[in-house]
Amino acid sequence: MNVRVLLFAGLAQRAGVREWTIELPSGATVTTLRAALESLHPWLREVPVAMARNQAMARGDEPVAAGDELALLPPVSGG
Amino acid sequence: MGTTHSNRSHLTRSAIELARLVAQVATVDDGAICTFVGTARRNSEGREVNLLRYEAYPEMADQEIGAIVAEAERKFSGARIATLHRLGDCPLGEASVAVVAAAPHRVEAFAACRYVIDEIKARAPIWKQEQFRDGTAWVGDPGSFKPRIP
Repeated sequence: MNVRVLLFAGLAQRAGVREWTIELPSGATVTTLRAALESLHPWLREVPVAMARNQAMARGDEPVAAGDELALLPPVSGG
Repeated sequence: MGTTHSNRSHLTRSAIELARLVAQVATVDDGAICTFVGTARRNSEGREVNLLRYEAYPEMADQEIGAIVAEAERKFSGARIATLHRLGDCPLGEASVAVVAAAPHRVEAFAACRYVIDEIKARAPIWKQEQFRDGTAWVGDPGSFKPRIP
């Protein structure tokens, strides 16, 4: 299955794009997605990142389904 | 009273007009209106900033700010809140965020206003980029300095 991964701020800057599409095996979780992204883009290991799934903060053991909207969130700095 | 304002967006790409936010929540039953305005500051740890640029995960940020407003209205008796965060370019001295808390008494108005701005800064998926003469950097992201190409 394919899922979309949105990128923001310094992460989008490093990636040079605002969105990745990644193919995952069924049964994938937020943690296995993260690991797959880190093996494709090793620089991700060096930056603090939280993950959101369908616009809410995600736990590592949450399953990822086809069509989900995932996002990589660097430390927030609004205000 | 009530939360009829809760379906408004909490994000804007235009200048923030504080008086309009006040008008959204103020009623004749309020004895206190507390406002907080965060502004774009020139100095950032000794470096001179020319401009701030804000980016958000807009759908999630709007939901998160809405949740924070609802929490504050529950926690602080009688308080009603209007808040707006600016996105895109924010020139120095202009408001990047504003919070208005109206309540029958000042204790709740102050507390609700403080709660909302503190939680927005801690939780809303919004990011600030400082633009310097020689480059740009995302706040809180040390590796993100990008030199300006002349």
